[in-house]
Amino acid sequence: MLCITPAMAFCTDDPNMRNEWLTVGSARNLHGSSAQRPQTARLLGENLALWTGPDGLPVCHGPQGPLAVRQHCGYLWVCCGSTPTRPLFVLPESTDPARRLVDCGGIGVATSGLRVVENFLDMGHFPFVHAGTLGQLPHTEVLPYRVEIDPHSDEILATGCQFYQPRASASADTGLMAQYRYRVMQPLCAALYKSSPGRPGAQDVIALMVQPLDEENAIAHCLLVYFEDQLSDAALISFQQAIFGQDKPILENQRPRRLPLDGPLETHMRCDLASVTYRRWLKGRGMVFGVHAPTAAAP
Amino acid sequence: MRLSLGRIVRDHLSCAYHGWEYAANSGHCVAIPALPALPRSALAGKVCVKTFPVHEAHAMVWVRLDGDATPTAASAVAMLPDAATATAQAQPRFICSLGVYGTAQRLQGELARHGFVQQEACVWHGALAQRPVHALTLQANHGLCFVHLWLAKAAGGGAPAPLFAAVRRLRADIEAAAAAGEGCSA
Amino acid sequence: MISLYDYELSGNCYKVRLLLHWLGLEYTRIPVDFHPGREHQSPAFLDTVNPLGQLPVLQDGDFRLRDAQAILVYLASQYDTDQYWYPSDARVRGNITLWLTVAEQLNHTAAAARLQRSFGYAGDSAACQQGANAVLRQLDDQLAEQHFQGRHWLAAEHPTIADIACFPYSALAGEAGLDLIGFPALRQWIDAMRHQPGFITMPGILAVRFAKMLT
Repeated sequence: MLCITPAMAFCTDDPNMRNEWLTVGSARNLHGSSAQRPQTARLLGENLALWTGPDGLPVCHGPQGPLAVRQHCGYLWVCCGSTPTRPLFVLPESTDPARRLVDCGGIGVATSGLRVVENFLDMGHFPFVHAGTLGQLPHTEVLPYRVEIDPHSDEILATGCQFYQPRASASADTGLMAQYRYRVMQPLCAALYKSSPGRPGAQDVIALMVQPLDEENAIAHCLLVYFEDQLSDAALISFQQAIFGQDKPILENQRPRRLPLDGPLETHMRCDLASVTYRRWLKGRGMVFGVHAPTAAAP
Repeated sequence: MRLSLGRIVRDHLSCAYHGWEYAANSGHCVAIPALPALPRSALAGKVCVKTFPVHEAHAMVWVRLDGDATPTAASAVAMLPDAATATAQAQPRFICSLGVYGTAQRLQGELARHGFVQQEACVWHGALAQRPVHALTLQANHGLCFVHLWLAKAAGGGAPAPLFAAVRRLRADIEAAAAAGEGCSA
Repeated sequence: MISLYDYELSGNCYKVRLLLHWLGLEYTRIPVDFHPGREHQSPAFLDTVNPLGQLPVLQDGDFRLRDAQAILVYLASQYDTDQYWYPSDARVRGNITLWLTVAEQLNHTAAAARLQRSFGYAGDSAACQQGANAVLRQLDDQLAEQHFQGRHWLAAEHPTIADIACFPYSALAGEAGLDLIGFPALRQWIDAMRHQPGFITMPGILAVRFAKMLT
């Protein structure tokens, strides 16, 4: 039987993914790399080769030739299309010399990257999935908060979020009402800002950057941008990875694996304002990658 | 989020993700922990999960996926005919649920080769380690079948080891036949 | 004083954390940056902690021991005065040792596949998964036979270190890309472990009660 395979490289032609800066992990992975011994990374269904060029800048080759690659916030970012629609997001805290940057590593997860981001914006699961740290029974109420879209950056901003947390961070030793704000910079990048125990009045940043391997598999990278100088990297990473490790079985057991953007497959209430906004925002951008497309024959 | 990962809380099924609670039998959502002030009346009937009638018998849980009729003791027991008239000592005794790689067809072919006789669609009678057994076959998913096995009569001893050796031999033969069959397919 | 060189997401470290908790022993956790830092492979770790570059490693006073299964045997022998977790009966011990060996087989198969999928380790995932299914079937067969005789644990009438050793990578099978649907007796045993009084979990294994889940 004659099989005709499409000539398209990459597993999608969704411009939201092709014309966007997508992360392939920490820039440290390029240590010791060269054109003869490149690092490999998987992105949108293809294997990429990455190395440090003679001028010290990163180089990236995809299945059909060179791809634009940048270093930003200590990570590598690749564009699998011609030109990115938007510049890379800014994270001014990452260049503050008083802060500490900790890469918590990329952890593979078998679900659409969009579900990973949506879960990052959700607080209602804290007492059930992260009992003893980010939440605790019976403190389950999600108080109303505000969500808006910034007209200049087109980023989603959620402010005034608060939740009771028995152990809000690795250095916390008492329960407190944590104050949060969230920001979604890209379909696969979000950041949360929470009160810093290391510098009262300031905020620590946790950035989630998701590397899409394909529509149903991703690597979640996490960057901490903290005011903190007591605990080791290992201790901070341990706390953060425990949180993600608890999210993993939940994420991997959500069905459908891809994110539905049209109701009524999943029910939302007003406590899910950030999730609802995120789905509407994705729909407004014509997102199809990682999105559940109902079949015509579905009941 | 799959409710099969949920927990039982106050006799409700609670989802592992956000703790939404669903009542037994009706399947109605009766609590949304993120909105504790929401009265039950506001939820009543709006959020609901599908339920199916169930029955317990012979160490198994039986379910009707067509939801048409509540399985009764009689209909579950009809699968294992001896049980209807048997005394307590002569009741069927559950052996194990055997997970087997293969299709229902291969499975049934091998059961017949092992001397099992088909009673009705999925129910077979035969013997393992010289002891009469009932077998119920079910396809679980694409490559996996179950053979649920009972001793026809619990009483009458005999060490379990030969029985389980015979169970494993049956499984090995089914899977060898399945593998051989695949090798021959076009 | 007991210290444990530990990694939060390691099933092998969790075996030791679980027994330490059930024995009611106090200890200090020394977090090691397994991923992304590969601290367990650093010259400092190889020279001063474990030349094989593996976790967990237990330090008890001046005594140091590596290997999760070995540490379980040591802790039970040294501290379990009731001889519950590692009974002295010869047959039970023989069986326990058998299942500790099976736990090691799970390390080479299920744990390896999980490292590949979760942490990007190189390896033949398909071969690891095939091997893991064979080991899980061994466990399921044993447990089915135990259940038939009214027993619920691998080596005795109650849980022992055999059950602790085989539990984590069985319970984390999903992260290795495995489906436990074909192993009903194994799934019952996993559930029985999670319902044990004083059970503590690890990230990736769902607790049965919505309570404090990490020590």
